[in-house]
Amino acid sequence: MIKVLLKKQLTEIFKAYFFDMKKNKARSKASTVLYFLLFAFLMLFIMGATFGALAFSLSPIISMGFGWLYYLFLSLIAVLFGVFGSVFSTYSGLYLAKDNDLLLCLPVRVGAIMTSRLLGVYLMGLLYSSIVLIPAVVIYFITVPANLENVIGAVLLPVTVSLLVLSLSCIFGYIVARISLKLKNKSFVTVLIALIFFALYYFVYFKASSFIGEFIKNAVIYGESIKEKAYITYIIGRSAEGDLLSLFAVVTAVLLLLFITLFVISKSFIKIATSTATVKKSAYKSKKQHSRTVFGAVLSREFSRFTSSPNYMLNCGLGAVFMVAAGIFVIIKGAMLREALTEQFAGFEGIIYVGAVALIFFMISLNDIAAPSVSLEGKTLWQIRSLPVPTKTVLKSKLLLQIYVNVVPSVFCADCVVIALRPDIMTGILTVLLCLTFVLFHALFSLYCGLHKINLNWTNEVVPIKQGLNVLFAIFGGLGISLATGLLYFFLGAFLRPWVYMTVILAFLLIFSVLLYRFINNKGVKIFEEL
Amino acid sequence: MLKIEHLTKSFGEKKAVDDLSLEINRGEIYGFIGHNGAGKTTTLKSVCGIQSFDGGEITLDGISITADPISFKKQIAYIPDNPDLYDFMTGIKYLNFIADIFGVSEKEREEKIKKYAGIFELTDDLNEPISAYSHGMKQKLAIISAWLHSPRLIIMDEPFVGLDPKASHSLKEMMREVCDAGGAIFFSTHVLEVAEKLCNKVAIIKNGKLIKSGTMEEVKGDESLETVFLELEAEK
Repeated sequence: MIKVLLKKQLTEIFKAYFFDMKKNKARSKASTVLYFLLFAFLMLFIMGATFGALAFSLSPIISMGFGWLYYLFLSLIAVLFGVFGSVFSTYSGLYLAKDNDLLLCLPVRVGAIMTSRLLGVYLMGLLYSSIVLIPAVVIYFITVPANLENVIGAVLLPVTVSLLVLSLSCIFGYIVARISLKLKNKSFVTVLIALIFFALYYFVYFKASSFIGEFIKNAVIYGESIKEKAYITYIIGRSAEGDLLSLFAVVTAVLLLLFITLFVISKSFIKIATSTATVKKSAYKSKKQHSRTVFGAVLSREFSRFTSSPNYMLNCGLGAVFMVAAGIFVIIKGAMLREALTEQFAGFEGIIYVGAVALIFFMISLNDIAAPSVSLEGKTLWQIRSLPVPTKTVLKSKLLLQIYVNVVPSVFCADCVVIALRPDIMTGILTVLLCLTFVLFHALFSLYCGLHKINLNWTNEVVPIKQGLNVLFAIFGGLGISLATGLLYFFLGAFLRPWVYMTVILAFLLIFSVLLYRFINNKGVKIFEEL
Repeated sequence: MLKIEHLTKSFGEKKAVDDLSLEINRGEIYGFIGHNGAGKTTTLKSVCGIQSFDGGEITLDGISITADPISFKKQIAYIPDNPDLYDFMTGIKYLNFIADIFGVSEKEREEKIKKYAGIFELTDDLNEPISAYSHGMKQKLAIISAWLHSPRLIIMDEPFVGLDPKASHSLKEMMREVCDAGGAIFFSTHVLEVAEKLCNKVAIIKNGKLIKSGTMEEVKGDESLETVFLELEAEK
């Protein structure tokens, strides 16, 4: 039985490699092989190389006799990376699987269902932790000669770490499931948690190099201190180096934790997997209803769709958060920034203002809400098509939502830039005007892209939001224009004052906006009506 | 009231609807029956403007669905066979959205929501997101939304699927009320007993072609509708 379930689970995990969900048909063999190669390349060369570089930068502490500290530090990163990568898939894989009801009504033991589900989680954790640990082991053996003991330790290291990742993912997945049953505004909480993760990620990323330098410089002090105050962590590090007693203790502890975790989860699995949210139902009481115009209703529909989906908000609206954060940063560090930039670009100050505008363009380009909005109609398209709403009104609502989400953060960011960098009045006014015009242009461009390569047959909203070609064009088109705006001034800056250059860009953006608007109002309407 | 003249629609080589003509008058409950893939849904979707068609004309009191779709759609309501509603809205938000589109006054929508949500026992669930609704609840919500703006013609594709017996009974009564008030109902169904008891007129479609239509008596004579339907289906 377990073999059948494992086969089903593996088919599900690797479905994307064998089946094209956008076209709703099986991939060709060549396409499957290509996807596997691309995945291997991404994992081994890009991610692996990043952690290889990290391991290499830490390698001096191995020569100092602190190999255990080296392994401890990298194992900790592997655990964090593995848990971060698999905790949400544990929750959805275990408790939200669409076939839970189907399997539970078949003569299959709960343990077998859980084991097959956890295989996916384990593979995910193994993959993420191996990306950190394999380069770590390679760098270790470049520095230290191999012997039987340290080879055993190195071989068992990914196994113990991945099992620990499995236990921790299960525990966190269980907590997420329990919280989720009681949560009312899941979308906003998910977005908030994701934003905190992003902030932490960037904080750690920017601090990493100085931290590693500090760590290597004081490795002896840290090492001795950790060994003295947290002996258990010393044992963990030593186990990776092949100390057999430590290895036995660590493997036993990890297996014990896994056993207890699985026992606790299996006891509550059916209850959580089959229960619906226990959020207190607020029964509707008949009350006065408020009416809106047709356009107001259609715009509100787009807004509801956007705010109800964490995927939509995070993938197509994150630029708004970046703009606000950038504005605050620029205001706080204004004096220092102005001084540093003026010194760096002495005699060519215009590039500072044009560069700032290009950066704001860049952040606006990340908000491509209109691009997936046509495909997102999906199976509900019949509704808007059967209602007496002109197609122009529908498209206008998609356009305006993107403009509304962008307009306040971009003006805020542009104002902050003007206040902090203090350009002349003309350049200041043009900075704000250009950002507003780019908001309009990019919304039109996103909708233009969204009206091409439309996919209404998706089963997961992530497909139109993240994986559509139209979305790719909308984002990269905007990013390309941002880059071109900045780069072009490097060549033209010697001949044009910034406000002249900005006026030219403004004119171009307005002309292209008019052209895009005309396309959407004519051809775009026809495309939508023929869906 | 509703005139379908020589309607033709093809998907590639296959003719889904072939030269179909029908007329539905005020006060009529018109049943539309046929085997799976006969062309019922394609016809209904063409009538309510969801699907374009290759030939023919569809008018409602002289207003053409192709020439003036907005005026046409203002007079009708459509309930599909599988009500994929906006999962991201709550029930009450959805009803208000539909009422806004049709310009239903605040007082009128309040009264109608109260009345129909009460009939279908959905009042307590209106604050819940549609994603939490069962198939039957979605079907009930779609029916309430269709009745909100007092349409003159209601088009329904398999409306009784997923409804509990009490809700089915209520829907049948509501259909009669619409016709008594001078409106009309055009619906497809596979439940021939329901069609036989409920409809004034019936049309049978086979492989895209209309093979029989008229009053219930004209179509079935002394036999049951099921017998007539099976005999017609058996003919080559």
